Parts: sequence; structure tokens; C-alpha cells
Amino acid sequence: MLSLSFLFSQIGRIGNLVNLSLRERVLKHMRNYILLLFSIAILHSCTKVWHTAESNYAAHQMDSTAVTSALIKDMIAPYKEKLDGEMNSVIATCPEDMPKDRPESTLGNWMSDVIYDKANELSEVPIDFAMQNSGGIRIPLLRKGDITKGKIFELMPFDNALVVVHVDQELLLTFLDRVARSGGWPVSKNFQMKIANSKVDEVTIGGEMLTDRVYNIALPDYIANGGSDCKFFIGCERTTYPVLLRDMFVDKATADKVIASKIEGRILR
Amino acid sequence: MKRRTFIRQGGLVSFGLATGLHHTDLYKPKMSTLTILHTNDVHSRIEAFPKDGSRYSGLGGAAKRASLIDKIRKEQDNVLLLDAGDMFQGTPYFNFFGGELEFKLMSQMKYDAATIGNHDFDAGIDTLHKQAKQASFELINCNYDFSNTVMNGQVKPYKVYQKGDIKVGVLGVGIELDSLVPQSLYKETQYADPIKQANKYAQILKQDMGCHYVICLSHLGYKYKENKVSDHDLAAQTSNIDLILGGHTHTFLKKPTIIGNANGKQVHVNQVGWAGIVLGQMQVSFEKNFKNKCVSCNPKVIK
Repeated sequence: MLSLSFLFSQIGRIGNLVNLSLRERVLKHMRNYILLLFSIAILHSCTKVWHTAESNYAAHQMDSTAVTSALIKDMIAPYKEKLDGEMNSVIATCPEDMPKDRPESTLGNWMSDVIYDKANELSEVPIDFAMQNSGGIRIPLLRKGDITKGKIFELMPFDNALVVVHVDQELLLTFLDRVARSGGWPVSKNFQMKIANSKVDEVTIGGEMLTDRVYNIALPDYIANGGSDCKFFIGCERTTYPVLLRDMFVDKATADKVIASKIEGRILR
Repeated sequence: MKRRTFIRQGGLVSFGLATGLHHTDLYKPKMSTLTILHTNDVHSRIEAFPKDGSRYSGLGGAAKRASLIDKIRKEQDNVLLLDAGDMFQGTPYFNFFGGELEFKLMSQMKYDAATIGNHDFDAGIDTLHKQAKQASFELINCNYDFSNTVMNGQVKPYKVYQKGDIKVGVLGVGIELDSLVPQSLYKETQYADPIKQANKYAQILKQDMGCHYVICLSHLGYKYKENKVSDHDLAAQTSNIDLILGGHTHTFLKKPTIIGNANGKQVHVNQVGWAGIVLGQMQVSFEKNFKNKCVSCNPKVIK
């Protein structure tokens, strides 16, 4: 920029040597020319950009103080009406809080026993045990009190069906190691296992040590189809039953009127 | 005399420019604000949790969320409303109506976009497709290939939103479906490396399309002990992403985590738990100024 001013003054001096009017004309032209150069220089070196300046964060908790949108409520209403009739019906009571926990929990024991009993009823071969993945239980706690059908849907929202896999001792142990790695999964009565260093240690089924035979395990199809890192089950011999686990829970609770279970040391670590 | 005056003035202007004394030191730079509202893992929680004394008793619910969103829209000009996946599964509303009401309500609330979570396949890809056709918001994902499924053409890798002066690019990534979702549900959906894909599309958005701000909706999960790709990895191993809005791990964060990206630039990573218990609001201000100058820049998130 300084050199441009210098250049201008030099040209001005040249103008002095000719005559005044020519000098002024040159000056006028040069002035316009230099202004143009300035503009280009400013535009080029000083283009502005959008900078991300500052971020502020607020987490709005949707609690009881929040205002309710009447429009949304109206949109929900017809769906809610259809559901409520069925879902809000009390099907059983729960005398004690039943939490979901590892390595064993009352909630997991109740659910596994329901699957075990139903599988035994349907299967032609005797079932050794029923197991399900811990992640398949979708509420942390079944609270004591009235239990609605809707609560069972929350407990087991997935449309998982029953599969009985017929596996040898080796595949059984592969499966139990996977279960041990997770710190224990819900399992039915007559099954006992110790976990040591995240591996299966002692196992008894119906009080008996494992032998070289075929074991029949009742599972959600999700697990039998390889879900939750159980790919070793893919392709193994199986019998599938088109009955949903959730329906088993609803039916059993409705029939018994009570949902209860005990901790029995099915899995220890 | 005139000439001398002009030379003197020209000299002064030149001096001023040379020393960096810009006129912006005297005037405030132009500012713009972007409001990003977000949810993740709403899991069909249409109504608030029942008031039964349980952990989240009375929390959440679409009707409350909608009225808060309306209120914020009245206060702010440039609002983006986003979801990071697992809109479906968890209450009987989904078992009975297959996600119809979830998408209807999100459309009514004027969600701009959502990414696809693993549970969004739970009623099968055909049902997801059916619901997506009714939705007024975009489904965004760049690492699932839907070419051989009914969803082909229904999902965009990214979308650009002009919000006032600010051009915002939004892309999405999803978790590996194999062993998480039965294949009979996701069918021929092919999974690709989310980091590679996110990097590719974030570069397109930032460098080629001139987006000022790039948001990645992620259903990968916040962070894992085991070797499994997470939002932390996504943030650290990519460039050109400014904000990651995550899901899957149901992580409640008090405020966004700041992670350095592949170029050492800061990325904000956030997640708002699950079930619509919390609506996240990121308020990002932008300053128009010279390339190496920014008066109000402060990359730390302020609560």
C-alpha cells in the first residue's frame, strides 16, 4: 500500500513537467485507478468468514412443571384409548419389589422359569434349562403392587419367540463362558453355575455334573439366531415354536395372579 | 494542496491497513445464532413415565416436549430439531401401531431429521419404510447401504439446512446391525465403516459445499470399555465435524464432552439419556470476521 502512494506521488511529479490541466487529468485518472486497486486489495486480503464463536448448552428435563401441548394430547388420544382398555387391566400382583440384577435376580428367575415350564410343555424332549440375555429384560425393576398387562409389555417389548437348541457339551460350555463373561444371565431352576475369573467354573443341571450328551436349552430366538455375541448357535440343531415369550409372561401372570420368585444361588461368582 | 491532502490520507489508510487497524475494531462484527434441539433413544415413550414412584416417574412425554419446542421456536429464529435414533420400541404403542404414532408426533413437532437406530428395525424394514413415507422429516444415514432393500432412496447420507446466515450440514451414522438385530428384520441392509463414511461426507459438507457448521447424528454409542467404535472414536478420528449428537448407550451427560479431532480442532459430543426425559439445547453463536480474527470465539462449552 505504501508503495502505491509512492508511485502516485512520482506520477504526480511527471505531471508537473507537462502542464497543469494535463497533470490534473492524469491525477484524476490515477486517483480512480488507485481507489480501485485499494478496493481489490481490501476485498482480497480481508474476506470475512463465519467463525463458530461460542456454544451454550441447556438440558431441559421434561418434568411435571412442563406445559402440556393440547394438540399433541389430542393426537395421542385415539391411540391411547385403544391401548388403555387392554394395557391398563391389572393381571396380577407383585408382593415384593423384583429387581433385575446379576449374577441372579428374582425378576430374571421368574421369567426364566416361565420360559422353562412352557418349553417343557411344548417340547417332545425334556428341557435342561431356559436362559435369556440380561439385555432382553427392559425394566430395571418390577415394583411391588398391581401389575398391568402394559407393564409386561415394558418388561419384554420385543417380539421374541421360543427356540429350543439341541447342543453338545462343548457348545454348551462355549455358551456358558459367554454368559460368565457378562457376569451371569437369567436362568431357570435346576441349573447351578459358578463363575470364576469371568469364566464358567462348576456347572450342575438337575444336580448332575455335565456329561457327553445332547443338551436341550430353551432360548429367545434372538439368542439362538446369534444375537448378543452368541454366533456359535447359528446353524446348530433346533426346534422353533411360534409362541412369543411376552405372551408366556402375560398368560402365566394372569393364571397365577401373583408374580414372585426367590434367589436360590443359581449363579454364583 | 489537494494532491498533498490526498497523498497524506492515502498514506494514512495504507499505514492503517499495514498495521492491521481494521474498521471492525470500531464496529461490532456481525453475529448469528443457531439453536439445535435434540433427542435420542425416545423408545416409543409417547406418554410420560407413569407416576408410580419409580425412577423416572412422571418424566418425559411428547406433549410436554412439543410445548417446550414451540416456546423455544418463538424465542429463536434459527432452530434445528434432530433425533439420534431408536425412536421405536419400548412401550405398547410400538407393539400395537408399529411406529405410526411416533413418526406422526415427530412430524407435528417439525423435526428436521433423525438417524436410524438398531431398534428402528424392530418391526422390520418394511414397516420402517411404511412409516418413513408418512414422515415429514428426513432419515439421514451414510454408512448403511439400502440399495437392495425397500428403503432404497428413502434415506439420505446428509442434508444441508440454511438457517439464517448459517449453512448447516447434517449427516448420520448407525451401529453395526449384525448380531444386534435379527437379519430377517434389516434384510439386505449393508453396513460400512462409520468413521470412514462420516469423514468422507463431513469433508464434502464443509469443504465442497461450504457448510459453516457440521453435525453428525450418531447411533454408535458414547464410549465403550471394549474395542467397539463409539462417538469418542468418531470425534477423534474425523475432521470437519463440529458436533456429534449421539445415542444407543442411553448416556445422560450434564453437558457436551469436548474431544480433539484428527486436526486438533474441538468437537462437541452430546447425548441426552433416553425416553425423552431430556431435551438438549445447544445454542451456537457465529461471528462474521476476517479469517484469523474472532472477537467472541470461545470454544469451551458453557453450561
